[in-house]
Amino acid sequence: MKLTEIDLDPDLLARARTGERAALGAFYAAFSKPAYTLIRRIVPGPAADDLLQDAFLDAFRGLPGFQGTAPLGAWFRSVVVRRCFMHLRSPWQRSRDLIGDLLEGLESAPATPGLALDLGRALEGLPSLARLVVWLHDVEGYTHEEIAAATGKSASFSKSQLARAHRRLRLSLSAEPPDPAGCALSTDCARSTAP
Amino acid sequence: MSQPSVDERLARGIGQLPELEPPPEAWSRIEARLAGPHRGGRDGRVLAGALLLVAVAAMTTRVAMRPALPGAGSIDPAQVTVATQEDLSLDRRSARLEQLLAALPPANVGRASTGLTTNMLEERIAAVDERLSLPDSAELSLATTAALKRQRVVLLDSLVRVKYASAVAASL
Repeated sequence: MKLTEIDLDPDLLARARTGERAALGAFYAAFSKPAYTLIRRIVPGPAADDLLQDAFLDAFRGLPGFQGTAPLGAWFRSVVVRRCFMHLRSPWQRSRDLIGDLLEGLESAPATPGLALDLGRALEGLPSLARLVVWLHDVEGYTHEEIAAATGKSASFSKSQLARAHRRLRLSLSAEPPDPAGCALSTDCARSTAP
Repeated sequence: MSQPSVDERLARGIGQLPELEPPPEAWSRIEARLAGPHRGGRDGRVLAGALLLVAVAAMTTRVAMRPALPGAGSIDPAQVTVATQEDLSLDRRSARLEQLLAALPPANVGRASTGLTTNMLEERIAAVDERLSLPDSAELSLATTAALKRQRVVLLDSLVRVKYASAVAASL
């Protein structure tokens, strides 16, 4: 289920806005799984666990000011995306990306021809900003203009990132054995090839 | 009806990736941070970490800009090419960063991300070292050798930052 498809009972939301612990717990229970999925797909690794906590704390602090002009799920998703983007643009994260880019040419090809990267792993292999753009566009349904607004970049930057990322994903997935049924892009098939 | 394009199928496949379960302890950690003291402490640690990174950056820059090691001046400049001069400079920077690393205590691996980062950097330094020491390394072009050595300096520099920040954070 997507974050934007989730809503809370108005009474529960009102109690959560006052900081009532049980209501905040219910908020967490309703949103934690899709929020964690979103975060992990954009920020793989242990940092996702910290970001999950940070996003919920941001939301809890922001709830009293939530006006209800947008659906609650959409509002919380924007909180989560903002947290992810803040992480990705941190100097340390950018230095890690730089190191990754520098070493990309040194990484050896898979030792076994045909050793498959499944779609999830292929996604993790993308540069962090490209991963953010792919997920927001392909899964969350953001337009390029909305991605531009969320990231402080231009819409054309978002478009070029998406095109390059798709190309890289196709290349990663082309390591799959030939599959006339075209199931290389199916998650079931992708899972079945995971080690 | 037209077939979906490859990109459309790709997007659909990404959208069908399974949901992921949050760590079971996440809510209790959020509750603990809601309680108050941890929140300020964490923010304080973040601020301290940022200040430390600035300090380490300044320190490593100072290290990288020190004059040559004693003995380096015995090389006749006329005998070295531009590429090998760069090699020499990179070797010196690597050596100084290694001295700095040796002087630092082991990274605090209590935090998973720190441990993973340290391991990743050390593994990549080892990969570069391995490439530079393979029997056919003498056949590498000067440009390739210099690129590998530059990468080694970047990685060592990052490792110094991580270990220094970790060591000081652990002492707070």
